[in-house]
Amino acid sequence: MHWINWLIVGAYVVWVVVDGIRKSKDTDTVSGYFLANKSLSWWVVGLSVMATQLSAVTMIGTPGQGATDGMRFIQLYLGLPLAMVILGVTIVPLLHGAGVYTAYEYLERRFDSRTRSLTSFLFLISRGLSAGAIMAAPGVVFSAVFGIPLVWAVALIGIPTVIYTMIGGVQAVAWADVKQMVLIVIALVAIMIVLIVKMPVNPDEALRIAGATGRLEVFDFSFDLSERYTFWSGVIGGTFLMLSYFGTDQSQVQRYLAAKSVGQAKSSLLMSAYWKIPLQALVLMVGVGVFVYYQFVRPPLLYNPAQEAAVMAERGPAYDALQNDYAEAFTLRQEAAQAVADASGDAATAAMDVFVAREANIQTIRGEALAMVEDVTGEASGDTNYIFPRFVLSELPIGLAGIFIAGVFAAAMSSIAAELNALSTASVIDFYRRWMKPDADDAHYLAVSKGATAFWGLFACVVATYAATLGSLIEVVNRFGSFFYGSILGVFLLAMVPGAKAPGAFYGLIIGMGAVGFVAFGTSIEYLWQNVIGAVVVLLVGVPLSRFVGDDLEGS
Amino acid sequence: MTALAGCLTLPRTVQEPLAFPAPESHDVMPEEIPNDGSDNSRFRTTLIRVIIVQVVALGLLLLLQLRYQP
Repeated sequence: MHWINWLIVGAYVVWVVVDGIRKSKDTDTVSGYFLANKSLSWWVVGLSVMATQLSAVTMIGTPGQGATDGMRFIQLYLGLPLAMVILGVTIVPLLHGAGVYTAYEYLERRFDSRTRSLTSFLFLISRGLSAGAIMAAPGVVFSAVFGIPLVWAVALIGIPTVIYTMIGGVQAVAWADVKQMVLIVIALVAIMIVLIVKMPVNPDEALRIAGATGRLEVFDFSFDLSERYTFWSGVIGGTFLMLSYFGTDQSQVQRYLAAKSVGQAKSSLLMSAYWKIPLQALVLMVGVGVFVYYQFVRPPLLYNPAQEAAVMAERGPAYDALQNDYAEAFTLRQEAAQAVADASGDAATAAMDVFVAREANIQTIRGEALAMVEDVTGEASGDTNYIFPRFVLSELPIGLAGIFIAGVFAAAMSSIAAELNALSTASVIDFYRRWMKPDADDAHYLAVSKGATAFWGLFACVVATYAATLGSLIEVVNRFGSFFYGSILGVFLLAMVPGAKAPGAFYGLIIGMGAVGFVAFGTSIEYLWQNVIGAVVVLLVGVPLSRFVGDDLEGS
Repeated sequence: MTALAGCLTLPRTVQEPLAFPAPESHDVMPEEIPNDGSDNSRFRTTLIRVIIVQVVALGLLLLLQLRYQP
């Protein structure tokens, strides 16, 4: 990468760390460190919530997904606006006014200490691992693209994040998120403009080419539980997922607990409802744009340069032959794409048929190359994640590429910082202060909190270096996390049911997770529905258990 | 499973008050929290905008699909 791009990335990282710490006030009290003394404005909290959710995976992987699979991924977010409105009138006032530092602390007031401890423990495990996975994803890509050791890439992301989170607490995290969100949007809009300018065909023709390969199929209205992204899984499953994520996950809850008032907390959530779908559509559309661009400019056969080098070293002649086939197939597909752009009426249908057949031929050749990667390296290629970084580094002008890479750093840092801050809060408030040392002063808790942030940062870095070599681990972590989300949401919903008792919540949570585990491993039902199943099972178990057994389950 | 067993054996105490200085609004229940009219007004205004933006965004995406997806 050009030194100017590196300069932009370096300057940005230094600015985020220094300014984040500078903006932090009154972090010498626990309330100031964890909740910013409830002083943040709605727009700061809103941008922070959005930045937390927009991880580096979104910046790197989602455009790649747009390029290979089109716009259908947007359906995942269809439930988000509805979830935000529901949270705004239910959980937000409940938690903001309850005088709690963690969402799980509320569960002790409503039920008992073990329900709090179990939910908080599940959060620590799943989020601790996912912080590592979030760090691993950009670390692996940067390592391969820039040819630097993975440990360096992880350290480059992890160390500055731990520093400003540790020193500045939630205020440093929130203010850094604001800058990161602005940078991310600027980078995406600039890339979209560059794509439009550099595209050899006009936007209408580009969209026709994208449509011919199914990449503009946004909505799938079929009701198929085994299909991952449909309109219905997005609206129903997505609503439950977003309710769980924004309503019960400490990394999100802590943001709006820091808002000045309930009204400001509610408004901050609506900001996500406002922008999420348009922003996600922009990210995916950038990916679709890259796909169309690569119809006219030949992309590499393999996007991951490290894997390409490994295959060339081990299977040089076979890979060369494949590349020759690829060059011929690309020329034919390029002609077909131009024909689609130029054709109209009946000729357009025939041109599309030819184009689709030639695109399939390209995919067959790429499939052979990817199989070669798996043979040589012994791991899944994950080539989709490298499409966009390769495009950025080879096609964008100097400076803009630096802004994009800084944007990826920003996205990674904002998500990880929020996780670390929340992990530290839950560790100290729900465990250390609750069970080990309840009567210490603020200075003591602050010291422990900073230590906890450093511990979780180190933990995430270690997980990241291992997760990177075990590609499937990231998927396991994600599936592992989805076991809990719906069930924990069920406990919070149960808390709003009059007469619900602690044993109903505790055993409902365990049975809910068991039910989700059965669905995940024993059926083909897709993961979005698991959130619905987990929440519903907790309610179905918890309500009757509370009514007929009450508080006496253990006694009986 | 060890954690689960640990949680099962925890004493089922009731919630205790916070030991350290709590934020100002921690002392009051949700309905008592100072919440001036401008907050509620902003929430309503933003909610209406949310609905409009979502309808426009999803409508545009649907139009895109209908127009370009064979």
